[in-house]
Amino acid sequence: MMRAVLDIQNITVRRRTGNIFARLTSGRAKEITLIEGVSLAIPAGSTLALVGESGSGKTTLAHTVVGLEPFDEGKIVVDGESGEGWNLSWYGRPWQRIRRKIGITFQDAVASLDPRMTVAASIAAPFRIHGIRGRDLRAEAAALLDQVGLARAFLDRYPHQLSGGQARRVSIARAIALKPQLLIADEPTAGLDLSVQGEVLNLLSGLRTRLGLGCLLITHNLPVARHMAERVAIMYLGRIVEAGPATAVFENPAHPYTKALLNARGGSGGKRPAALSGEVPSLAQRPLGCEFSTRCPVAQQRCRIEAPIETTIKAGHQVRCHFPSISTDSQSLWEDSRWLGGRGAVAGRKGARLAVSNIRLAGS
Amino acid sequence: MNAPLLELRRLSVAYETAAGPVRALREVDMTVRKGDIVGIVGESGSGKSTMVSAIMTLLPPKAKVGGQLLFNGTDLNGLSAEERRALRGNGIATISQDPFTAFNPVVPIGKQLVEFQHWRRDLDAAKRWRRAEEMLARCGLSDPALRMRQYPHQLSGGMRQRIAIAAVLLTDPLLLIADEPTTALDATTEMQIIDLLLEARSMVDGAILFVSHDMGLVGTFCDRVVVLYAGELLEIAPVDASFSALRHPYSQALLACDPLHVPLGATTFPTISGHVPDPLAVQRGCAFAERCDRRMPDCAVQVPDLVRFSEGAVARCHRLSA
Amino acid sequence: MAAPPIDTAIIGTTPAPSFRWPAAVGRFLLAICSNWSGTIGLLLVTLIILSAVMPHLFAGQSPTLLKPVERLQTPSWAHLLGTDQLGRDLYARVVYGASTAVEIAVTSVILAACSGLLLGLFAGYGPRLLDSLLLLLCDALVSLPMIFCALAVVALIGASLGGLIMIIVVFTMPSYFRVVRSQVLVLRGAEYVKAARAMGASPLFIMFRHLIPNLLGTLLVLMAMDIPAVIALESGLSFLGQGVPPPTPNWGGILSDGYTYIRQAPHVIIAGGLPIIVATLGFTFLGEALRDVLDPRSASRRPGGGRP
Repeated sequence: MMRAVLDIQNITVRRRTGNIFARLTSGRAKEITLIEGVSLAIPAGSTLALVGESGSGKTTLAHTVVGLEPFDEGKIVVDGESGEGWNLSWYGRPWQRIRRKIGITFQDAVASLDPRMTVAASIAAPFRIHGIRGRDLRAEAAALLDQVGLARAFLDRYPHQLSGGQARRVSIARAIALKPQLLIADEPTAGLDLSVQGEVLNLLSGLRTRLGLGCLLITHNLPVARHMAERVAIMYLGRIVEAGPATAVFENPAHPYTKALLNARGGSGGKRPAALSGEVPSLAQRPLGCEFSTRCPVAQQRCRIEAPIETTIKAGHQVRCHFPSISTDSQSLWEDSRWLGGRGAVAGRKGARLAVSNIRLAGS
Repeated sequence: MNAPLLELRRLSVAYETAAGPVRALREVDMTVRKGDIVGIVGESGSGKSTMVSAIMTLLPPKAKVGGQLLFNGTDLNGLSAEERRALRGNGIATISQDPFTAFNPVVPIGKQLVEFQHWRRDLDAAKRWRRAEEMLARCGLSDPALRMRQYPHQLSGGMRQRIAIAAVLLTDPLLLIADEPTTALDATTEMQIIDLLLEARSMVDGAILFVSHDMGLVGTFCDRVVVLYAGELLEIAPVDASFSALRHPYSQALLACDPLHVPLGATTFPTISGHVPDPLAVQRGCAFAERCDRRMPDCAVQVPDLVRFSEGAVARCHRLSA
Repeated sequence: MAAPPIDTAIIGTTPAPSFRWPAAVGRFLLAICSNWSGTIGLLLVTLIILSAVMPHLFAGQSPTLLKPVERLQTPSWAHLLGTDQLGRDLYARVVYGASTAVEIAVTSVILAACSGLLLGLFAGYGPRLLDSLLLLLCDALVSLPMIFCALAVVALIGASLGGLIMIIVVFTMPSYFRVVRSQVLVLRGAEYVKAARAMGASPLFIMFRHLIPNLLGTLLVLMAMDIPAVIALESGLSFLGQGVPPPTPNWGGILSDGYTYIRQAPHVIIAGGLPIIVATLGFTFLGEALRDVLDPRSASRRPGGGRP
């Protein structure tokens, strides 16, 4: 077992709601749980994709790891180090060493760059923050731009002069400035045109191999997760409902929610199972028992009372469900679904066409 | 063959700027007939939102419009502001990306839905209310009576989009424009809305324009796809889920870029290298020539003609005209 | 669709000119003068500052020389704006009054802006309790009637320049505080501030590198627009006899004198009002031009290419 570059142990994040007056008048502090008992490990140099819909808590988890968000229980170990009191999302010397090991890119790349700073200043910011002196910061910034495939002339640009893809590259350059061991990429393709998405993903996987980065990839795009990650964790309402090797999770999904997600993108008129009913419940009204029980097509009485615990169905493949499907017929579901061209790697491009043609609309 | 409902004839839209004219839409020809469901696909800068604004006659006054835009036989470009307003009321309706902005936040849903029917003079308020409530039920909203009394902010994104669809259907539009109706929604909710739109197809006695950047969705939902690039119409083709009728290199490249279609085990994602041409630049040759991996010497110097293959299948490419 | 058609390989743009002070200042002034209101503003403000610094260049006569024989004369070539009830040349008094006005206005506005900025930063970026406390304090301050307080202070410590500035600072500070605080509350949630925090930036780093630069534009504009208000305020207090002690020439004093003789010699009140109007216009125009220039988005906006 390789050393984990990131080891999240049983993290729980709660937040109190309402202002002080509301709390006083209602007589009780209302708490919502954003993340409940999440454990994850990323071995050095490998990629884990965190998949979920909006409100599932995947971004909150990333923010917790970099200390933007305090957590209430659990432990976060980065490259073997876990600062006591790392919980404080405030600034302080002991945590700086840990922070240097993590680079993060945000969902909205343009907004994550100060509109009044040039690209050069933005990329050099990590050096300034960590008090690294005696280097030509402009040269460093130019070298970093080079690594992400942007020309030197971008050094003096302002964020509003960049296209979405270029801003994304700049934010990646800033994230890798201090040679981190872990890169957190939050929705790296959000808001990008299809023809540019590929460039950013190719850049990320290139950097990952070149720099030996561990990578936490946060995405709602299943095909992206499938291609980029060795391991996948599916989040729903602040919990990880299923986690395992990418192939296992995608080809033999055990949790009904994972299946629903896979089906959602494989939408076909007649053959597709009905879309999930309802929507993600609000965090303030977390369902009793299993979080997913309100929308689950196979929910039983037990699911609404008792929260399922994590069970391992195969080596490294965990699921949190009372009635996981471990049967082999999930293979057929995989083949029905169009989203990865079915029939696995062998069929390749032709397979994609074939599977796609399966789903002609019933009505058309 | 029925008469065309919407016909664009060499429709151009240009904006005058300090640095010269920006040609947002260049001589687009398109015909939509009753019963058609047409997808409009394009990346940013393709001109698809300009096209939607043009059809809705919502272009800013400084825009210079050329060509003809015939809706039900009348040229919308020549209409007065008064006539345009009347037309927007019960001829053309849209579902936008963010349905929240479509509703007044301080008025209950029911009241707004009743107001949407103001042009139905034959109905009294009670009937309009009942009609709205029935439409909500048909659009799959649980407890429509309650929803009618609620305010927009009390509803989730998916519910709001359902209500927006219901509101649009209440006006019995001849042309329904769905402008990226699922972009702001989650994957599982997205499928619910697509299901609803599939049902709504039978309720619309006219045509639907489905604007999207997602080829996959267009394949699920539409009969034909219109591919726009840098303000130019590159292809119109019938679609099914396999997209086998797409001929233009750009359409094919765009399809290949979707991670959905990337074969397993591929080490890199396909991309289209280069950039959309500068909208200020004078066009010489094919708009896509610079990024095309199948370009010929002709492509850079001569604008290809629109080649017609069959009814509803055209493409603009030198490779295909040869 | 502002995507500039540029990427990895070749970029056609010339490298940005290296930063040199004279050139940068020149570019800055040029940008301000790019529209007529900015030009007028700059011109008027320059005029006011010049007459404040070197009044003798503009006015040949002494502002305090009494010539009772020539009292309340209408404007003539000898006295461009006429004379007041003591026979002092009004033009000279207006010119020399600029230095009093500018001294008080600029000092108090700078002091108010700095204290407002500091408190606003603490309130907006610091703990919530501090925020509530400072907000309460400022609200309480605003609710006090300024003129009465000014009169009370003058009654207590006597009329003096320092006292006047102190009063003005205390009463204009809350407006800066509120603007800064609300801006900081917005900025602290901005993605780039989060990004800096995630990289481990200290609160000081965030304040100096991200918050203050992004606040400065708003603040400068606010200051430029506040200067005429403060001049008017100071004139008002002088008009009430609680401002700058005589015989120092000041605009409010002229106005106050003019009020007394408005029936016999209306030109006096005009001579007092004119510089206040000129200063108000000049600083307001300059403030608006500054707001446009200080935003990098407007300074180097690409022509066209924007989606309607």
